[in-house]
Amino acid sequence: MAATPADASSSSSEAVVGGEKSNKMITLISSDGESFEATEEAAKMSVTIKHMIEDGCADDGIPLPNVPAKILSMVIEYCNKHAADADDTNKHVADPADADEDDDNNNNNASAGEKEDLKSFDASLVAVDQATLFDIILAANFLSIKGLLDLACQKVADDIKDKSVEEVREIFKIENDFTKEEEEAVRKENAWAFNE
Amino acid sequence: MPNVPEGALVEILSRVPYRSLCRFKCVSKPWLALCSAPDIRKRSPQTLSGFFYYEGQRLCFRNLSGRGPPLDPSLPFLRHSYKNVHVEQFCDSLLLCNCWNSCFSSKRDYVVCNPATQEWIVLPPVVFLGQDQEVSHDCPPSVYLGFEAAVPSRFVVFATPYNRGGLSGEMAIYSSETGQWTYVQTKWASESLLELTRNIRVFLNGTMHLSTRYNYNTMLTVDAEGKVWREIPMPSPKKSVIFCIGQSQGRLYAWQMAYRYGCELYIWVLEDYGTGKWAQKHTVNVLELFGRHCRKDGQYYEMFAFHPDCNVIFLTDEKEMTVSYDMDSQKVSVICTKGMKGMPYTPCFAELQSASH
Repeated sequence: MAATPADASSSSSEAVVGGEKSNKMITLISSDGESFEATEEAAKMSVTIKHMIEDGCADDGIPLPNVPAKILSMVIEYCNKHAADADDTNKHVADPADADEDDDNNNNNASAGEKEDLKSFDASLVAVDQATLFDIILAANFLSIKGLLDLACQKVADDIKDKSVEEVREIFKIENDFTKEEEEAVRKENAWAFNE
Repeated sequence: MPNVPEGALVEILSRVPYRSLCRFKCVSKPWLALCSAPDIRKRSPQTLSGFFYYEGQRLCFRNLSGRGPPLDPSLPFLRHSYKNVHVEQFCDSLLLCNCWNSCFSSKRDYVVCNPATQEWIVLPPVVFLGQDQEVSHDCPPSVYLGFEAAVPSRFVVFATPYNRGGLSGEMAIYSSETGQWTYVQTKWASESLLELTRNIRVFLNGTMHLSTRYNYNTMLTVDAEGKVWREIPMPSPKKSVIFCIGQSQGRLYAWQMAYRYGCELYIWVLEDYGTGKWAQKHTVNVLELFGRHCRKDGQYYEMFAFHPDCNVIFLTDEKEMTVSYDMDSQKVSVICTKGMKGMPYTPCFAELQSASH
């Protein structure tokens, strides 16, 4: 990030360190036509949206035909929470050259209490039913929000790790395309991985 | 129900523990391909899968039931190139072996290998100052292998010249990142004798920790660059008994068996790495654990390992019973009905740099 001098005349009441910060609001429109507002800073946690803003396509609001309102509001909640945290981190960085480039979830300078707060926020965000969790993954994937994608994928991984093969097929709606002999062979080769 | 895009599925499966990943190979043909993919496999979290141990001269491997894939301890992938393979050191997921073909040639190779990927690297010869040629196998150096799963992309080997176990002041350090030996002078304050047995070294946070014979109460440490040298006093003054050290969940542990009243095991954790302050963590009544009332003459017990990921320890009576003990749930499980002093093994599927085949 290029270092810029603190802008004393900025309308923002917070000190600016290492990069510009704007309070501009961005409008995001869900697939079912609902409008949501988010700060530009929060919206830019989505690399997809960041590029649209930089290409000047964001002025009339950004339509997101892949993301329903219910999911979009959760996504924005995540971005707001984590953008604020990243911002706190940037405020503590004395030398902008020391700040990490990849700042999605940079908690290095956050206090232990703030870290715990973020952790429990993340946990409750993904404590949802499977279908909603998959929708969050699809949205985070489409919007390129790495932190949210990692969080949601980790939750699914934790949910499925103790499941049987049959249960996993159910969850992902996968058809078994093995023949009986083929499946038996793979099962035998990996016998240690099954409960006796 | 929308299909999860493959990119997301890769992210999900990379976070599924290895045992589950192997089970999910049976879900469907596309999942078989994904779950076998090297990039997913090397990210999949691993856990302790079993122990190497010696039965006489023969190296054996015991799986913790259902915890890991079976492993052939004869290391057949090395046998294509070497007639004789002797495993000298075990560290986490890698083995350091002494390999040679003919007994009449003095040429022996130090080979570091990964049994899970079957990759191996031959170390260049180590030549200490004051030695004209590479070390002959009559006076082999003392070698210590350092590897940690947290940094799977590299391993380190420390070597000190043959000197009947004493430190002559020279040390060679090999890093898989450079592929070379670096020679340094040891900077420990005291000239100490190194205890050369199994449990007495731990590689953690890029630093080798060695328990020493010097008053039985000092741990020497040296980092992978050979720049930081420390001496950390061991926790308690029971000088006649050696301390074993190990690591679990990112922290260093020390333990000691006492035979005053029956058999008691004391475990300390290094609470403050910077100041070297230990804290007593657990006390275990070993006789009770083995379901015995008294200790017979000549009966000894040993805690030979600490589980790297949880508060579980492994003990043996060296004759007829080996158990695991969960210190949180206080549950005892029998591992086998014979004595076993095992070296813990956790598979790792990261690539060894510059593998030689």
